Amino acid sequence: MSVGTPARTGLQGLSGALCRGDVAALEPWVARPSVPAYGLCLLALALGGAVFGGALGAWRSPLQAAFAATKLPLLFVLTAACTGALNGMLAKLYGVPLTLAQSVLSVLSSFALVGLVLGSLAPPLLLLVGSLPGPESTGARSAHRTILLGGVGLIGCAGVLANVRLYALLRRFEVARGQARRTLASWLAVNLFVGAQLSWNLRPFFGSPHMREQFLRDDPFDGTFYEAVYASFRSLVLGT
Amino acid sequence: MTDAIQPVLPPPAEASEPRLDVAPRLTDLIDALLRDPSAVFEWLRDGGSPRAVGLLAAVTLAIYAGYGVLVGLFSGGAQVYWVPLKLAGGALFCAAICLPSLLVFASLSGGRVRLGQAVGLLVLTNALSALLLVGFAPVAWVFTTSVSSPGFMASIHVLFWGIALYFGLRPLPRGLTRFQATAPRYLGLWIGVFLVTLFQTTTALRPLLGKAQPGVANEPTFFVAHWLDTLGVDLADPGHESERRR
Repeated sequence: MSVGTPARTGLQGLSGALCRGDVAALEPWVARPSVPAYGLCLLALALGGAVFGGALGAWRSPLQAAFAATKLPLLFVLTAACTGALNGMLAKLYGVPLTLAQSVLSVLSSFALVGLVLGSLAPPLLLLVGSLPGPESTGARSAHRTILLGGVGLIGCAGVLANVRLYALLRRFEVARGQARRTLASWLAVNLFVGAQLSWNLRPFFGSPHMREQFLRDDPFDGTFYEAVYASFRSLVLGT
Repeated sequence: MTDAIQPVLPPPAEASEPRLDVAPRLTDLIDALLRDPSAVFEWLRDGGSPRAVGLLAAVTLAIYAGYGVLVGLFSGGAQVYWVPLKLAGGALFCAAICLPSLLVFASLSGGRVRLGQAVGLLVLTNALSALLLVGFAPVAWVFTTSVSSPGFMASIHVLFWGIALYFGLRPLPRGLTRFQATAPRYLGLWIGVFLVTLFQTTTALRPLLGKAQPGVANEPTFFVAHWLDTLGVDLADPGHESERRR
């Protein structure tokens, strides 16, 4: 059964088809990209990302919750925007018969699924975040680490689910198994590489216990995610 | 003699499991839920009566409240009134905040579940758990009158509630196949979310066992830490030095 035109289907129809992995319904959608199709994917990831981000930021304060609710969807959109052209080219290099617009819409639809899954998990997350020691309490450090690990873990799980669905969608376009795997792996690598750096630039999402609420850090473009990881590694392993 | 004795055969399986009416009596619904939950899932899929679901939800909440009275009897006093409210309200709150994720994970499993049906699924699983709690209630009462340690009593209730939840949630993935789900394993993730939420809710509503402290706000804590703490293991004391000193 086809999802129908985006305008007629609406967010509910798209959400259902994305969640069920109804590739037969999604294929005509991706095959003929349109502004409403992009719009609905963006709406799904914006709504889901906003409520999930808000739940994460609520640990620090309502203001930080509002900041995170704005920034998490922004992170997804910026990642998709920065990687769109490269992903389209990589698909062509691997012989996948998708145009640039179709590649971007495919990736965006997987981001929309990430948004939907994260959004649905936001209410229980809010309960858990509210049950942890607050940022001013003695257990703030451990609570901060728990939220960091939990948040990244949930986003990771949602990402894996979305990629399983994306693989099935690629196969629907008569892409060989190997081609689909390579394309998906390269899209995933590019999105993770860029997404990690953008998340570094857009920090803080829920804020370190000792720092004030901020939309962006005072030096958002100073340093990179990878330099910070390298510095942490050197400090931990080499003691320098 | 031509009248040979004919062996008495049981009627065919289908004949012994009549389908539920669209608006069944509550007793029939409960009976079907215990005997053949799949039939109740089919009934829900085929437009089961919202009134019957609502009635079952009310009975479920009443059972949770009743079990809450039993839990509250351990401490006595105001806990006899507070714990039923906390258990019934907590179960309702937990179901409400897990409803959106149930819808999404049911869809991820390939199922076609509408909002009203998702509410019905939550009511059915909770009702099945609650019915089992009714069975456990006399045993829990025996322990309530004999046990003096809140930690041990808490373990008993967690065990009983855990068994009830196991049997309540077990039919859900299979039942979802009645809603065209092709990969019900995804629902395992939701069950994990539901259990964590439920245990965290009961932790947030403490004390359920022990004296009520009106006007004293609970220190936020994760349910695992609280459970270990209740059992006398101090998380801040990895070598359990304090345990040895006792």
